[in-house]
Amino acid sequence: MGKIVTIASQKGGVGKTTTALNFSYSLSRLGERVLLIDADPQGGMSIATNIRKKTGRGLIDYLAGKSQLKEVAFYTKEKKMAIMGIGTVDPDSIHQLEDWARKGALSRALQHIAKHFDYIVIDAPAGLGSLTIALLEASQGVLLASQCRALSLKTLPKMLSLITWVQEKTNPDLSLEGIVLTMRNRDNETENEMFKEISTGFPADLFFSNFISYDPVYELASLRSIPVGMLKAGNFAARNYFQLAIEYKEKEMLLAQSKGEEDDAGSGLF
Amino acid sequence: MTLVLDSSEIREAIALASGLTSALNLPVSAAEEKPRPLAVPAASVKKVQDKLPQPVDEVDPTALVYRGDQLEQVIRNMCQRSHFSGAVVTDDTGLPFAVVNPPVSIEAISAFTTVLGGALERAGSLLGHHGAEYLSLDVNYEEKIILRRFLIDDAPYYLLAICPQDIDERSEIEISIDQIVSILNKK
Repeated sequence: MGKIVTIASQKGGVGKTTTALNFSYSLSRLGERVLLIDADPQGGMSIATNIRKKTGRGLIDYLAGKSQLKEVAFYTKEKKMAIMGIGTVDPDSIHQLEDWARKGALSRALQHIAKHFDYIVIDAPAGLGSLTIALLEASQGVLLASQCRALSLKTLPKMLSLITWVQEKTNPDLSLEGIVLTMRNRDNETENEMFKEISTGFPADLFFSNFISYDPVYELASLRSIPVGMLKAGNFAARNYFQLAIEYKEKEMLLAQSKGEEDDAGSGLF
Repeated sequence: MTLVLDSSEIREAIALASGLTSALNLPVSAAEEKPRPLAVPAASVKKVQDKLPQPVDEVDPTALVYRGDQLEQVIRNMCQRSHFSGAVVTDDTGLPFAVVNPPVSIEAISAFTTVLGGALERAGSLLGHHGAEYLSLDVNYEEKIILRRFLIDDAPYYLLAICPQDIDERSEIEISIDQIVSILNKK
């Protein structure tokens, strides 16, 4: 059973979709089988990856039983990374999607799909609606995206409260994997000052030590509908996400150790 | 004077984050305080218990009178034990002896078994491996069809089962084949 990780934030426009796409790409380059799912009715991920070139169907159609998994999830040129778009979006289907979310059908479907991959990375819609709650209920991990800007940082308590609520009420297995700072502009003095403050004020490990620097090459990658790592000019930007993925895996390993899993010292290496 | 740390939202976020990260209990963050033993919430324990396979009341096929019932019970037990969706036993012509949860009509599944059986036999002879007896076919992302050919007095029979892709079904199939053969062999 693969791990379901939701990329979320309360505020829109903080780089969730870019993070979901490039983080998934990096995980797949590290050898993991990843399915990236667009669960945002805005369809940002479907546009960012141009999955519509393959099919207009997606998550909504799968949930409606109109399509099978193989008809909506497609492996990419990066062999271990597959993508599932949001699918047919109209007022009816969005209403239906929220209904499925409330009734647990979305969670069940995601858990079913997770059997076929190492990671399911979900691009969640911005906000704290029923869809986000259902995604958190189905996930083992949540990764928050935030800019190092006052407005973005000040929306964190709402999302953290929601995570705590989901942990307490419905999904005790949900783990806050960390917050990734996106679009960091190191030339901005105010941002640098805020970065210093949050580095000291917030608990250690809450923020990933690898942050994502602002780089115009992301726009170029968006225009081409590819992860930044597939662009020659995007090598430097892609390194941010590779390092983030490595830090994420390391954190995951440490977490497993801290849960007191017994070692195999007695049985040896073979 | 700080830029964001004094704001009520950020203070609230820090308080909430402290609770969430202490739950993570990461060794790297626990340098200053002793790591707490991980308390497993009762809800998680119940969730795990719910997921554990429940004991299944199996009916002993030999306790049944008719051979058809015995065969059906063998494959029903097999499906229950290993969470197969369905199974069928047929002879070479596709005549079904026992059927459990067929996904389509019995006629269709019989015909399909014959087609697959023919393909299995032909593949064996074309590839120079006569006596091929096992065929696995992924039908979608979740399930596969297993066809196992077996002989009784040189006459071919087939056990077709529909099972999840992520399980190793071979031992289960072999155990069931032994039982089926012993039932069909009875004089």
